[in-house]
Amino acid sequence: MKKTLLSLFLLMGVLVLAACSSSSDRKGDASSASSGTDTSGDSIKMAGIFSASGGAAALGEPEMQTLKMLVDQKNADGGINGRKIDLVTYDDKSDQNEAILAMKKALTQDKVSIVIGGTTSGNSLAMLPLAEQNQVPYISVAASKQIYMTEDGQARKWVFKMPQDDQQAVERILQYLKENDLTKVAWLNVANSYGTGAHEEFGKHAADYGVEPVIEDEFEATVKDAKPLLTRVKKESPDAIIVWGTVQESAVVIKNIRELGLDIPVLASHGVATDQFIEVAGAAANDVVLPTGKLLVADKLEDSNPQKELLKAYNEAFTAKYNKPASTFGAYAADAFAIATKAIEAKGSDSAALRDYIEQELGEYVGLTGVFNINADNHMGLSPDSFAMVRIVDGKWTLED
Amino acid sequence: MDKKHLKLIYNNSLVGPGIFFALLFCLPLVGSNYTLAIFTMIGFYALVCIGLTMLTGYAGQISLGHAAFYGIGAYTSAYMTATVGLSPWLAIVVGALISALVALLIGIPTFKLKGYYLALATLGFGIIVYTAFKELTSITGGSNGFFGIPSISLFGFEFMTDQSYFYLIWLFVFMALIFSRNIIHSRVGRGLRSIEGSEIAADAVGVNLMKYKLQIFVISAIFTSISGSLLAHYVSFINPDLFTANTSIYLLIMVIIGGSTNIWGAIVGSATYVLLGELLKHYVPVILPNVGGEFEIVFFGLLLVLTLIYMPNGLVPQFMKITGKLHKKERSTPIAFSIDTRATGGKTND
Amino acid sequence: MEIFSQMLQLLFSGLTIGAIYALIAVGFVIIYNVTGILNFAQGEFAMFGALISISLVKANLPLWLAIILSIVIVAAIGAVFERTAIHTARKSSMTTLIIITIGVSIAFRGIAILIWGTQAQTLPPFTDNTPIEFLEAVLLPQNLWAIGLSIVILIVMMYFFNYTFTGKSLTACVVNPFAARLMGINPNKMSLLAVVVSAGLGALAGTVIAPISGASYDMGMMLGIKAFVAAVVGGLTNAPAAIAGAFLIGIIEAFTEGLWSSGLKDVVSFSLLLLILFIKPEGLFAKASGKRV
Repeated sequence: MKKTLLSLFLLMGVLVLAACSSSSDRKGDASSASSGTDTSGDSIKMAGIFSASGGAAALGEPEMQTLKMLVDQKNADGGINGRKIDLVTYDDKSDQNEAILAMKKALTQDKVSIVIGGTTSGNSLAMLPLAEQNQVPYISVAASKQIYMTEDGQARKWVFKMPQDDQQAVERILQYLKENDLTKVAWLNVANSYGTGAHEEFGKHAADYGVEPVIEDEFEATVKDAKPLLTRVKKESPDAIIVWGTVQESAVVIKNIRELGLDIPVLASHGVATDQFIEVAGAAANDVVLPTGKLLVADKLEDSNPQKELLKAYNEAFTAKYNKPASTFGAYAADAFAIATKAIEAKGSDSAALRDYIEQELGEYVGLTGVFNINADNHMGLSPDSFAMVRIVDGKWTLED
Repeated sequence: MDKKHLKLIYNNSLVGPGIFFALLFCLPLVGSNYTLAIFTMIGFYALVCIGLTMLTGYAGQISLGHAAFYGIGAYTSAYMTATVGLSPWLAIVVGALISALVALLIGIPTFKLKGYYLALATLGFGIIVYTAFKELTSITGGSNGFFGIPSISLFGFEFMTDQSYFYLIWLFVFMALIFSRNIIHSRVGRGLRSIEGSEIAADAVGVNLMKYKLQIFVISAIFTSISGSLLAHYVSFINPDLFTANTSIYLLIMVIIGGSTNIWGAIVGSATYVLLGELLKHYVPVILPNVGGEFEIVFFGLLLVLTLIYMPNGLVPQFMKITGKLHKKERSTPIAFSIDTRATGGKTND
Repeated sequence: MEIFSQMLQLLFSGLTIGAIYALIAVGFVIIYNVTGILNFAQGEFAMFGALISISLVKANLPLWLAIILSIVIVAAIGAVFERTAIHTARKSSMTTLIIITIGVSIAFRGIAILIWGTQAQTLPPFTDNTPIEFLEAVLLPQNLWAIGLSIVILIVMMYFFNYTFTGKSLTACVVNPFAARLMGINPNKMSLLAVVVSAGLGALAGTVIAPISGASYDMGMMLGIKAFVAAVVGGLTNAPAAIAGAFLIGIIEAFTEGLWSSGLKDVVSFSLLLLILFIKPEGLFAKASGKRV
């Protein structure tokens, strides 16, 4: 019995040692993976935690890739003020527990100065208490308003957020409906936090825009055939349908809408603003209208728009490196990195100084997603007009306004 | 079954657990916060797995629905503390009571089933409870999740750090382990072992199978619920995705890897699962750097299959077998004796 | 009339989804009956079938050839799976076997990520997919393909099990493995055959559903679980009963979603599963054997 226990301890010991040593190795290989250069003691530590796989992979993968690409570029250009960036990246697999562990590791083991990530609102919400506890600035790339604001409307001290709020996307859609006199509307959302969060906002604001929901329901993220649900929608004969989800499930629902011959305007969420959606939905994607950042329609922006050149440059760099078009989600990570870079340029690696800089000194910042005005009350800083309404025409993105 | 095995089964000394936990409780002296976080995670799983191991290995029942109790514990604690304003400790008790009640209600009809049917019934039960978490938005917050669960405090001491949660969860694991060993060595345990041997025989000699199975099911539900409650306080934010059918499956995987016929299998299994996951996450991208996504689960899946093909009883029983053999060689056991062991070798139940 | 056309629409949807479940459920039943294993990796065969056919179409193969090739490849994967995992571990306990098939399904998902990434993809419909109007309800040719194929499979299976030597041998292994062995039937071969056939059926299900709902590496799990439910509700010991169960589950889900709520669809089908297990565990459409309970 004693021997057995002893061997058990040995086994555990080996595993523990392996786990611990892996964590110290990790710093080395992470930097070599991202920069291929030595990590001088003077480097600046940054963590990227994204859902590069699992349910939110369509969002998290380009975010992770963007951050890696930008860090590589920065380091190849000599780093920030001559200091290299030592990036550690973690894939949380769209799993909340993994995200928490990764955040813990980044903060307490890697001791990073700043964290970028949290692909889904759920993961961001799970990770942010750790950032607050450890007093490290955290720039989230997820949408929920709760991420940077407590329930009583206070800004969370250490948390900033890049994408627009879901609420702003919903409001943008409502505004569009109002402009086009579409008042009786069907609302369908995917049954996860992305969908229900937006649904809540829709419920709060629909009346302000004179929009009357005739039916509100959910569909599963794994939906195979939404026609049963749509027969109910059809009975209510709405003026327009809003389908709020990400790529795969939205594609199925919108295909079914077309198949049922429901000939009314279809609006989708900014979650489908990738070419993947056009590929999966095929012809059914045509005439879908949705709010999105301006990346997809960068070519069609006026030359005077300060974002135009930035967007084109990012798109070209990303396409050259990964051989696929850039997505809005990657742009969130790019903005986060750009803001972090500006802060590091000004303040070095001290976490508290970085936070103060982003909150107080950054001022107006033109990014890929929009023009940020971050201040002590608003740790996100975008306005709804950072969304453009786009329409898919013949499989291409066109500006709708 | 030889005497040695009987001795192992009924070994109720506190020396083993004592040494183990004494060593473990020294970990915060050397480990970083991250190491502690990992071991805290292992602790949450271990607490669940101790109950599940008794259910699988001793009562011979398979459950693919334990994430339901994990979730019931977590959501009850969240709701009772954040919304109602109850003390966290009271909330843990309420959660455990609800879980016990649900276990009893679902257990009575379910345990009439056997084998795969039981597995499917528990799977279905788990999915129904998961949907309830998602749909009862007024209580659970639905898919948006439940935010702002307060941390636990005891006599004015607030559990905030990794270190404090590490001690808290492993203290519970320790108590659960002792408690379970006592059960196994009790009348209930002997009754249960008879189920595992032959249900018909046990029935014939008048062991009330149903009662024993239900007792163990309820106990395992309570352990799982407590673990869920503590998890909720630890992470302060929960959502239904923590309690899917996948979670139930992974919990059972831990039990089977560790070895369901030994209560230590629960701890070894959950530790192996968590540490292996961490290791793969770190080393696989080094070997294959350019693939996005969680493809390291390939290795996890393959290792799982290989382990079970070569050690169908799990790690701990396999270890027992190996060390047991070494032990015997040293003492040059009579041949007849070792043949006897080998005859039961495939099915050692220690 | 409007109510009627809505009901008809729901029925079409239910039959389509039911047909997909049926193809996978038959696979379960065959493996379960021949090897005694409930194969949790069954849904992954559908995933492989869908993704492989998509890749082959992208490589400019004609659709029909891509589908046939993908079924063959998946059947081969099934053979490897049977020889390496199931055959070597066949003497393990039931719980261990369940976890082994779960481990295989995890590995399969990982392989799919490695090859296809995590993005959703789609397959063109088998034939021109112009909706057909029928009494004001809409039916797509792809739905007809799904329903038609599973009916064909039903007939083929009945013929196979009742009228061919191999089929009868398989049945014999189920009824009495010992006697079957005495009669010179090799159970090992039968086990291999069973897994290969059900892998092929799973792949077919995958290619049928890919044009309808798209395909991604994680599509297998829920398909597999639903097909389980279907097989158990119908009767796990009997292929036609499992097919009937699959259509029943598909229709119940469609009507729940169409008349009540999408969120509660799963609750209804899993509640039905529990109810059947508690009251009539041999399944709705199978004769009681008394052996499985």
